[in-house]
Amino acid sequence: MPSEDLIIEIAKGNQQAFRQLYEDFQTRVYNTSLSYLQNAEEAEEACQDVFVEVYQSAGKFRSDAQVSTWIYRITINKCLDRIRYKQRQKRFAFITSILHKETGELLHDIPVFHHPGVALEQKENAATLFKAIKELPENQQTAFILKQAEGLPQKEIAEIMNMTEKAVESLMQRAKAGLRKSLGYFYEDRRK
Amino acid sequence: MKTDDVLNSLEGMQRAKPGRDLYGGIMDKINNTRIPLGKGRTISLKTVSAAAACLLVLLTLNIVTVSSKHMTKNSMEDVANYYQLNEQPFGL
Repeated sequence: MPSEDLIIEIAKGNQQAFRQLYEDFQTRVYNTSLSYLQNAEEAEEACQDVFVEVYQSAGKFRSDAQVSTWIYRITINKCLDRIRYKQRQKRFAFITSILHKETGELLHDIPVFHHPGVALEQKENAATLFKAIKELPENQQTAFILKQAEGLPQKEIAEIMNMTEKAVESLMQRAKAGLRKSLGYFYEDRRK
Repeated sequence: MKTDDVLNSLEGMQRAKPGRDLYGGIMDKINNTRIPLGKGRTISLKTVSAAAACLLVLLTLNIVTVSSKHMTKNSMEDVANYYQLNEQPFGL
């Protein structure tokens, strides 16, 4: 059954249709969430939030957009909401305490993320890249993740981000420039 | 160059798979999530009636309290007038 029909059935409360849609999209939603949140547990939680939203808002889906575009938009919004919430928490926690009471270690160091799908010889490089992606502005992060990690065509990224293909291209260029800059600093620091 | 290697390190990346119990977790959330008002959730007539009754009782109690205070003030004035307590003593 096409995704559009599944959505119509889900809006009627058909749980089998929901299961089918879940099977079709779980990998895309999970991998996108994983690239944003860089933590398997959090990515699964975000995934749950996405599918709950899909289930509850199926009746509001307008067929002027593709189902995949709609689900990607929900996924991105859920992930960015989580990241913003974490940043707010960190900012507050940073004011109250920056060191662990017992060990004296820094509480807010960014943990190294190893994506389970990256080849062994690329693990270190990919971990460095994921760390640098976190430093990018939100829209550059989105363009880069959708292009590089999800492998989506520019046209689909433009639809998801609700902008022109040219704007996406420009975002990608800025994202790459930003990454080059922060990776340059990273390797300079390592050399010292 | 090292930077280019890092930038291209996601090429050929395999898709990660979520845990098997993810669907169960989603269904649990769907069954336990309270749908916000305006998203197809309605309030039952029973709840609305109970809220209206509470409001009516509160309003009645307020009216009773205000009017009883007013009555007390009036009756005190009546008693004072009866015993001519409000008049100036000794015509001063």
